[in-house]
Amino acid sequence: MNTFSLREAGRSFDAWEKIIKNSLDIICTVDREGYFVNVNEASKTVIGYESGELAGKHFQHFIHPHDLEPTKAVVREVVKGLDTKNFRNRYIHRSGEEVLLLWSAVWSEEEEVLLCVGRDITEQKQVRRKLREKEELYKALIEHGSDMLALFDEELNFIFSGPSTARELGYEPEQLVGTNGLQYVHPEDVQKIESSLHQLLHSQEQVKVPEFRFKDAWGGWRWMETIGSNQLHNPAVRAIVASSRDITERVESRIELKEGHQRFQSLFEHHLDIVLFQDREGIIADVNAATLSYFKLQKETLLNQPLSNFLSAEVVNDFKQGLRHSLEGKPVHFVSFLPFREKKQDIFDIVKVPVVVNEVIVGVYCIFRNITELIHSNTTIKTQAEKLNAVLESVTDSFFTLDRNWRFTYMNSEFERLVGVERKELLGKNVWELSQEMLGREFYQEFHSATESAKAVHFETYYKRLEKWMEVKAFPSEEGLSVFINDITERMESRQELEKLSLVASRTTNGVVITNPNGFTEWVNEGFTKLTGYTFPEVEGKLLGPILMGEETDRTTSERLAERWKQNKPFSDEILNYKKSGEKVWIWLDVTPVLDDDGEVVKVVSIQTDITDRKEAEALQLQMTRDLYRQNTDLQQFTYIVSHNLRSPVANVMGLAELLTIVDKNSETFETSLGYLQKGAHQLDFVLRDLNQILTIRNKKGTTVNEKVEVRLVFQQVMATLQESLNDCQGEVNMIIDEGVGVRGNKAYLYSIFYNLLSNSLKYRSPDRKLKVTVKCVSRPESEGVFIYFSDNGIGFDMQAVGDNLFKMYKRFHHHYEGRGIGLFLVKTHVEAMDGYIEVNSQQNRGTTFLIYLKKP
Amino acid sequence: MKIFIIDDEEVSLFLSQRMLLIQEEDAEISLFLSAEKALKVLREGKPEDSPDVILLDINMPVIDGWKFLEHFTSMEELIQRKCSIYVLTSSLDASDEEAVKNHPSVTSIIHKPLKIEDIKLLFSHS
Repeated sequence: MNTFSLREAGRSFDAWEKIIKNSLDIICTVDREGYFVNVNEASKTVIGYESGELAGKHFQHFIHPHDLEPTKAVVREVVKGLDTKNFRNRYIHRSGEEVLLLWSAVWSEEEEVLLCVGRDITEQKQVRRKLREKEELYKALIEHGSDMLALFDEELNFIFSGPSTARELGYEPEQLVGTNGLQYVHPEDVQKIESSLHQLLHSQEQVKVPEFRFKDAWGGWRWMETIGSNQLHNPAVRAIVASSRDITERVESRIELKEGHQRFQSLFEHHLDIVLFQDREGIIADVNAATLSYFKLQKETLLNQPLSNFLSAEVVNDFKQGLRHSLEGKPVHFVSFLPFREKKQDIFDIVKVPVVVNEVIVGVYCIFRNITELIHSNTTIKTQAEKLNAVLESVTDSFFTLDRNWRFTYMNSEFERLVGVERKELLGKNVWELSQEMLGREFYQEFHSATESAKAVHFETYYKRLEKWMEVKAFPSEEGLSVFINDITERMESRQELEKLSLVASRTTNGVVITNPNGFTEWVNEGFTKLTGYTFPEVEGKLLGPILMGEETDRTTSERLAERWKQNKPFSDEILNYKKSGEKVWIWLDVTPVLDDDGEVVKVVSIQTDITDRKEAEALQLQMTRDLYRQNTDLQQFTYIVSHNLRSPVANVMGLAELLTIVDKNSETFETSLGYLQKGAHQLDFVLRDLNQILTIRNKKGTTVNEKVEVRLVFQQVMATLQESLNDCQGEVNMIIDEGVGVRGNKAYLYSIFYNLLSNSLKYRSPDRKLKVTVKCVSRPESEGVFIYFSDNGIGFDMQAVGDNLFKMYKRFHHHYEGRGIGLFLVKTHVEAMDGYIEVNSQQNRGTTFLIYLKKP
Repeated sequence: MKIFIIDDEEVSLFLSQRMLLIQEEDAEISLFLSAEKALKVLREGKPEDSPDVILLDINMPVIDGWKFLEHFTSMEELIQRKCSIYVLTSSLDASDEEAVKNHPSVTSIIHKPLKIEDIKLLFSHS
């Protein structure tokens, strides 16, 4: 305010004066009492009075009487300092018309006046009123109309949502405004809406949106139909106006109808039975797929034909009657055997269903169900049941079944006999109503145990009524209990008998074994355990053969036993068995089959006796027999020697003695004969000596001294003895014998062996070459024996011609050589006396090689 | 009378020869120490020169009496018909005697030593 100069203030005042003067609004000052002080010129145009006519006058003369009191009240308020800016009241124009004025007023304390500005708002208000009247109409339409109204922007965001939307779909307007309309649309329908929106944005026409699904506030889908109008360019609206209607019911009922039809079609078409539609005249109007496949015909062939064309003559009337009944509305259901001309073997169950349209029967659906297999399987089941019945009747076991309430549902005749009651009296009765005598306490317990545990039970019981032992087997099932009762009296009696026998058998020292007819062990006594080492549990239910027989058990014996076993007759045999310990035991078997009344074997009793001692004695005897045989053979050979070699010089001596008595003592013959006689006597002596030597060796066999004999040493002694002969023929001996190598035996024997072999080499040396003898001794550490190779380059012999006579006594193979045929015989005898063996190989005019095997010491 | 004596023993040959000569001075006796030699003579000589009697020992090395008999049976029929074979053996073995008796080519068996009675019988047969 300091800078506010007077000049400026004056200029400002002039400006204000002009503004006030020219203002269209009434500008005036009024005192606290309500009298006008100053009024500008606008009063003339607004209320028809000059400013001068108003000054000094109270406003009450110009204000509408209804508004006077409120105006006074406002004035009082303003005077107190409360400004007002929008107070309305009505003045009466000079012409008498009401003028509505809008006032702003302020109290000026300095001047003590009200500064007031009043504007004529009469026209404005009228426009607004009309507008309001229209708004209310729309409002009523919006609020109470059934259509849902909404405004969207060009992107389909809600700008406005009417209350009917809240009513219909559950969304309050504020829930929707600001959200996008598309988010409520069913995904499958979004495209539809988008294309409608596109259409709407590019035309001024109304667009009808085809039916689409809109999600309601409860999550359900509602079918909607909407009419949209593009009002984006209308300044009063600036929105897309959409009016929607819920058409869910309409759409759904339409869909249901469609589905219903489809369902029916599908049912008809895919029905597994033959279904065909006949009109009132019996003409086939439609058939399903099953029909076509059954007849293997095209649809055209069947349509428009009377059904009777396909029927066999015998059934045509049945079907006509069926059609007639059906058309009368009666239920039709019948079974027809072989109705079709073709396909004669089939049986059908037929239902005819009338079709009613507008209360008129227009035709009949015929459903043919093929029941051929059903009929046949029923027949099969029936025959099987009959067979089963026959089987159950024929079995010797008693048989009955109980339901879950212990009532008899079935029994065979055998059971009737057992309890002595007829089945008609028992069927349906509770089994426990039978007297204790018939089915006692044991049955009760066992049967309950079977049903409770759902497991079969098996027990033996004494049936007092018939004095018989019974074996009972009861099998629980869903239906109840199946029970078999078997008479085992005989078995029980034989078992008891067996138990008694067992008592006796268990006391004997022999092994007693009881088996079933197939050889499986049922019982053994203690004697058996003592004899074999096997206890009863170890052999129970097993075949004894594989357990007891062993490596040295004679196979033919075991086969013979098996063969004799099969003949079902008592027999005895002996066999080598093995105890559990592996020890051998010879067993004498007495096998006795036990027969039943029909001659069938029921048991086999075997009694086992230990005959090991006897068998050992037999074995000893056998050995003795063998020795005897050998000695006998020797004796035979001895006889041979005697008959040939001893007899030969004897015969000579005898002959010569005879000759000497005949011929002249002085003749040459006499001299010669005498010389021969002397020679013959010597020869005789040789043979006797030989025999003596051989017999000595034979007798000593087995008692040969088992000393260690050094091979090299002995051979050197032999060489020394025969050195002269070797020197005479300039023979050469190559000795390859390690020092210390020994054999087990007798030194004299080994000497005899080498002496005889070397003598032979000398005797049978080749006249064409110098004698060479090689003696080689091989002693391998791993071997139990020693090999001696003795070879020469002599005349040899024909292996084939000599055969097995080489080592025989008094066998000679060469002429012109001195020899008694005893050397090699002695060699062999000596080698064998020392538990060795000798082999020979020879080639004529090449030489001979002997191989001698002797045991190490 | 032509006689072959086959024996590997010299003493035996000597004895048989002497005894035969004592009984029959004109006997033409050939002695063989081995069967091979006797066979050779039989094969090489003319059939009509073959002996009337052969005294054959059994127990000989290389070719014994049995083998000699085998060879003999494969010779010309004329020889076989002409020769009477007597087995002269020292054996007392009954089995030998049985075998000799059953042999078709053997006339008889004579046990050594050859005695006067044997020779008489022999000549009466031939």
